[in-house]
Amino acid sequence: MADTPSTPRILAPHLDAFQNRTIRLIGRVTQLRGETATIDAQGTVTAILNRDAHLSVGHAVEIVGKVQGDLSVRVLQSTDFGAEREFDFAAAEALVDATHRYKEIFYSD
Amino acid sequence: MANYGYQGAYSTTTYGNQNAAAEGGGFMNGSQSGSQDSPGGTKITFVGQINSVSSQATNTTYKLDDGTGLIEVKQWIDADAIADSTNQLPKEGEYLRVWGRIKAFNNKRHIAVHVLRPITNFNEISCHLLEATAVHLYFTRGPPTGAEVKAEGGGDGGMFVDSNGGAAGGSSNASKVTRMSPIARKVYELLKSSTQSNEGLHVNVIAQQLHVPANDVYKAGDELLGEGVIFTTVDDETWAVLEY
Repeated sequence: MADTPSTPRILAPHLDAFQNRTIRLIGRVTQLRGETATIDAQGTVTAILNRDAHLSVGHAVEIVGKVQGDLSVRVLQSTDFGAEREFDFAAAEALVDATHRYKEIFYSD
Repeated sequence: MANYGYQGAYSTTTYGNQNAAAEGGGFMNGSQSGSQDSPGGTKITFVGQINSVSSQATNTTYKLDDGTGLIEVKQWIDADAIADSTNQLPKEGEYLRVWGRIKAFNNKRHIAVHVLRPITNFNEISCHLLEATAVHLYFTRGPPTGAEVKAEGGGDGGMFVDSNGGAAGGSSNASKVTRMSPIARKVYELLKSSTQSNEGLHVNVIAQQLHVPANDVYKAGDELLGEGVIFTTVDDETWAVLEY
């Protein structure tokens, strides 16, 4: 099912294993610097933003993007998940764990 | 279609849709309605992000992405409900909660929508997928009994491991206790939650704190001691939870 455009949910520690793949990552925006943003998702991730990315510092964000060779993420799509305090990061992190632990129902490979 | 044993009985999560998303693109033999291969198991609910929206004369088709794949979701337009057309359509990038039925048309699966609702609290996404996992595990492994809980914590073959033999012993204690009488459960909870020394609590103290006769506490103690979830400390009437 190579044509299935699945986007595995990962966190910063998993970037290495997902080079050149499209992934989905939830984290808090810690810094915005022009074309790049720093995102905390159990570790720091550098996101290379696209034109219609509207991130705000202190907000939770979900990024769909491609992991580059230097482990930065080129953003394809970003979704603001609201203020940091209103988002349950523990649940999102547990979800990443669950999707990889029981990948048979989430990902085909 | 992946063959999961519980396909027929299963109806409330993304799961059915996972298969559809992963394999809907032509792996199914012939055009069949979903209900044929899994009677009663085609009604699903899931959460996904809108990848694209296309409005047609008779329906609106959304492509939803829940991280595991894409699936087409069709909402048929009710010609009588003209007032609804003024409603704003969900846009790309938004998340939707969908209730619907798996259908197949031209070898391609889609979801026929009953209800669509935009997601405003993003924790619902985590919640839904965790629920889907929980349901999957429920059907593949059975209800979370003591043995299951232990297998989670310590590895496989939990069934025959001595319940006090590892870090997971505590959780299996908990599951043993859930099958006991209410008073035994209360006593166990108290022993577990109260700050105590190695000595544990005396029967009279427990009776006092729970506002129950000491006699009942003795009975509860017998039950708990019998299962080996508590043990006596300084004397026969002082108990502590057996945990590592």
